[in-house]
Amino acid sequence: MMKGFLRREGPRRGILRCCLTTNVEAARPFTFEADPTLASRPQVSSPLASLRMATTEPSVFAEFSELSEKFHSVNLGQGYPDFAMPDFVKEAATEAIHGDFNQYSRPAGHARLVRTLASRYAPRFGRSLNAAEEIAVVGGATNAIFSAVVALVDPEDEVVCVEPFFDAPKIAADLMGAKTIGVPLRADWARTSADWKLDLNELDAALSPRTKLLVLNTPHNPTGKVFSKEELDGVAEVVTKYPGLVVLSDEVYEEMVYDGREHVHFASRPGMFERSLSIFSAGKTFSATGWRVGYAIGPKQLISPLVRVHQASNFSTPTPLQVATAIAFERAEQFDYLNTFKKTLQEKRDKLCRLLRVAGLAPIVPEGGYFLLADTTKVAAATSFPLWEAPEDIPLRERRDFAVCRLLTERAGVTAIPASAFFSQGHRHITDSLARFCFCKEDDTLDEAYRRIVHSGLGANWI
Amino acid sequence: LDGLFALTMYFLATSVLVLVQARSTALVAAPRPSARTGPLQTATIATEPAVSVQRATNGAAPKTTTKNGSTLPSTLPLALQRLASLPEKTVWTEFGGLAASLGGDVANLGQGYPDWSPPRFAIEAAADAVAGDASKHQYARSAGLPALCEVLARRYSGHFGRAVDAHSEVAVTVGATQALLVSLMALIKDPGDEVVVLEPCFDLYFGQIRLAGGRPVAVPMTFSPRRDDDDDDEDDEDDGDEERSPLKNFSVDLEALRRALRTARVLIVNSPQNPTGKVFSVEELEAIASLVRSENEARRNSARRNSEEGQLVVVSDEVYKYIVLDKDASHVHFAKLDGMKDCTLTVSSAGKTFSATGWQIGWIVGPPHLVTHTHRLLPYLQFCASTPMQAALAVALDEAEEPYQGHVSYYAWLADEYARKRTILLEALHDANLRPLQTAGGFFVLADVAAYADLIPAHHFEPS
Repeated sequence: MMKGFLRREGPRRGILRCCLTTNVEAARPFTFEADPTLASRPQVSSPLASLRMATTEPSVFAEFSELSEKFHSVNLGQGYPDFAMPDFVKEAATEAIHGDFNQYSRPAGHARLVRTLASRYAPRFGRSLNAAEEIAVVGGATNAIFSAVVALVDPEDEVVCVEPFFDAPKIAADLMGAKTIGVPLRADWARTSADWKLDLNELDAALSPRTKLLVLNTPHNPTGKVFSKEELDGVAEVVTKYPGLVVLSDEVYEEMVYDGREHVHFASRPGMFERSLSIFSAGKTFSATGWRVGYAIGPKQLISPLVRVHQASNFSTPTPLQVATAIAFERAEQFDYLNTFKKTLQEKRDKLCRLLRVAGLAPIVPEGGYFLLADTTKVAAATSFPLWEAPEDIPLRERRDFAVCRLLTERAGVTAIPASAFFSQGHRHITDSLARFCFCKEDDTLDEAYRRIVHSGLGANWI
Repeated sequence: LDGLFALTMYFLATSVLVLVQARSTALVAAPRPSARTGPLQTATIATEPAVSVQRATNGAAPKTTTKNGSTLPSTLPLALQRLASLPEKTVWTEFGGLAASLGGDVANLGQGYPDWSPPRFAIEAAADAVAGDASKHQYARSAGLPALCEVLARRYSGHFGRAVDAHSEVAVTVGATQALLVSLMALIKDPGDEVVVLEPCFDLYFGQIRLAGGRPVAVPMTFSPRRDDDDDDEDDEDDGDEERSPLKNFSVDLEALRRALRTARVLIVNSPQNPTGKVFSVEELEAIASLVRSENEARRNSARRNSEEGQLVVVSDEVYKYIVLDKDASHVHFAKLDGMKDCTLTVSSAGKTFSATGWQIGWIVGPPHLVTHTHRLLPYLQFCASTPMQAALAVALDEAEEPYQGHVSYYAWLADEYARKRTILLEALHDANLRPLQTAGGFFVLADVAAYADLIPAHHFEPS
C-alpha cells in the first residue's frame, strides 16, 4: 500500500521539486493546519460558535482583490470574466424580470429550472434524474459546498481534499469542527496540467472509516487538470473500499475543457451516483458569477439533507435569476453558445501562455478551467529563505509566492493569486514558485498584463 | 478524609465504567452504521424512525433528547441533529400541499408573500441592472455591493439619528433569512448559548438558532384577549360595536423576559411581528431595552466576564417595518433606543417592502465590532449576494421616496394599500365569525376560531 514513494534528492530539477521520502509516517498526508501565528493576533478572538473559525485564515481572494483595487492593477487573480455575458443570457434575465417571477420559489429550486437541469444532466450521468428530489438549487457553488458540508459532516469526521484545493470545503469543515486532510497532486516536471498526478496509494492512505467526504474538483482549480475517465475510475475503485464515504465533486468548470477533451462527470462512473454530490455553477457557465445560482445533483438521500440546511440558511435562491438560468440553458443550443465559449477560452488560454512565456514566466498549460499556474522562478522577490528552502511552518503570508504576487501587484500592476494558498501546511513547498493567473479576460486585458510585466522588468531577473 | 477519598474513587470508577460500557457497547454491538452499511443507511435515518438502529445497539446508542422529547440516535451529522427537533413535515408543506391538492377553489391566505408584482420602478431598476455592463453580473464585494451599502448607510443614518459607516457597519446577505443566520453565527460563541425569542414567532428562528449551535429559549407573550371588567384602561373610541371590535393582541411578559435574559446571549425582537401583527410601541421597546441595559450592566460589573464577550446582543428583525398600518402606530428602530446602539444588530430586507420576496436581498446594520464577524463569514457561506439584484435595490430604495400613485412616497402608498386590504379581510373575518386580533402592522392577522371549535369533525384533531 505504501509502494510508489520515491526519494528524490540532489540538485533542483525542473519547475517543481518534490520532497518524497520512504518513511511511512512522513508519507502520511499532513493535516491542514492554520497559520501558527494566527492565535496570537489580537483580532482573532471570535465569538463564533465554533471558535474554530478563529483558526481559519482570512480569504486570500478578498485580500488580493483589495490590493488590486489599491494599486489599480490588472486583476488576473479572482476568477471572473471581465467581458460581457452573451446577449442571449442578458435577454433571458430581462425576460425573467419582466415575466414577474418575483416571489419565493420552492427551496430546492424553481420548478422550471430543476426540470431543465434534469433533462440536461440525465444523459451526462447516463441515468434518469428526478427533478424534484435529486436536484437542489442554491446560492452559488460556494453555498452548495457550504450547505453540503454542514449537512453531512460531524465534528468527529474527516474531510479529505485533493489539493491544491479551492478553500470553500475546508472552511465549511472547519466550521463544523471536522479535520481536513489534503492529498496533493504531484508533478516532477509539469508542462501541461496533465503532468499533475494523483497517487492512488496516497489517496488510499489518507482515507479511513472516519472519512465522511472526499472532495474532488474537475476541471481542477488552480492547476487546470481535467481528470480522465481512467483517473476517475481509479479514484472510484479506491472509494468503493469505504462504504461510508460521500464524494463531493466540484465540477463548476465543466464547460471549459480544451483541445477536444471531454469533461467526465464523476457521478457517471459505475456505482458512483449513489454516493456523490456533483456541484455546478450557472455563474461560471454563463459568465455571470454575480448571479449566485449554483446547483447540486445527487441521490435523494444526499440532496434532501442539503435542502434542509439550505432552507434554514438562505431559504431559497433569487427567483428571477433561476428562471433566467433555465431560459439560458434552453436557448444555449440554438446559439451554439457552449462550443463558442470553449473555443474562445481556449484561444485566451493560448494567448496568455504565449505572453507569459515571453515575459519570463513559464506557464503550465491547463487542459481546462479558467486558470493556469505559472512558474515565477525568474522573479526576484526578497524573501527570508532561498527558493524551495523555506520551512513548512512559516506563516502563509511570508511564503515566497505571496511575496512574488504582492510584488507583481505593487511593481508591475498585475495581480495573480499565490498558489500555496491552495495547499495545506506540509505541502506548500510544492508551490513556492507558482502563481495562479486567470485568463478568462478580454484580450486587451491580457495584452495590458503582458505589457506591464515586461515593462516592470520583473520577469527577466535571474536569482 | 479517607471517606472522601473513597467517595472520589467511587465516582471516578463509576464514570469510567459508564464510559467504558458505552464505548464497548458502541463498538461491539453497533459499529456506526455509516462505517458498515454506507451513506445510504446514514442518510435514510434522517427520514425514518430510528427504531431499528436502537434495537441494534440494545438501546445503548448515545441519544439526543430533542425539543419534542423524542430521542434520536446521535449518528446523524451534527447539523441534521440540530435540525432534527424540527418536524420533518412543516406547517408550510402541510398546508401548502393541502391547498394545492384542493385546486383552484381554495384561496391560500397561508404563506406570506404577495400575489401581485413589485412596483414598476423596482422592475425597471432590476431590468436596468441585468442589461448593464459586465461588472453588474460578476462577483461583488463580499460584504455587499458598495453602491448598495452606501444607500443603506445613508438611510440608516437617518433612521438611527447618527452616522452609519457603509464599509464597517453594513453587511448584505441573501434575504433576511441569511441575515438572521449569519447574525446568529457571528454571536453564538459557545455551543448551547441561549437565544431568547418571544412566542408566538416565526418558526424559522428555531431552525436557525439550532443550526448556529445555540439553544432557543421561548418566552411566551401573554394573551388576554377580552378586557377585564375592572380594567382601568381607556376604551377605544369605537367601542360602540363591542361585537366587532378586535381582540386585544399579545403583550410581553416583562418579568419572564427578565429572567430569561439573565443567561441569554442573544434576544430576537421582531417588530412588526410575525404572526401576531403586533407593532411594539415605543414604551414596550423601551421596557425591553431597559432590561437589556440592566442585564448588560450587571454582567459588566460582574467579575467573571470581560466587557465584550459576555454581552447580551439584540437581533432586531424589522422586515415588515414599512408595513405599519395604524395611524397612531409607528415603527421604532430598536438600535436607536438608549444604550442599544452597540448591542443591536438590525436585520431587514427588500422582499416584503417591494413585494419581491424572490429577490432575496437582506442586510445587517450594526456596530463595527459585531458586523466585522459577519464580514468574515460571508465569503465562505456565499461569497456575495446576487450582484444584479443588489444593484437594482440600490436604485429602488431611493426611488421609493419619490411620489408614487398619488401618495407622498411608495412607502406611504404601501402602508395604505395594506391598510385597505386589512380592512377587507377584517370585515370578512367578522362576517365569518372569526374574531381577529388587533393588528397594527405586517400583513398577517390572527383570528380566534373559538366559534367553530365544536363544529370541527373529530378526525381533524388527529395527527396526519
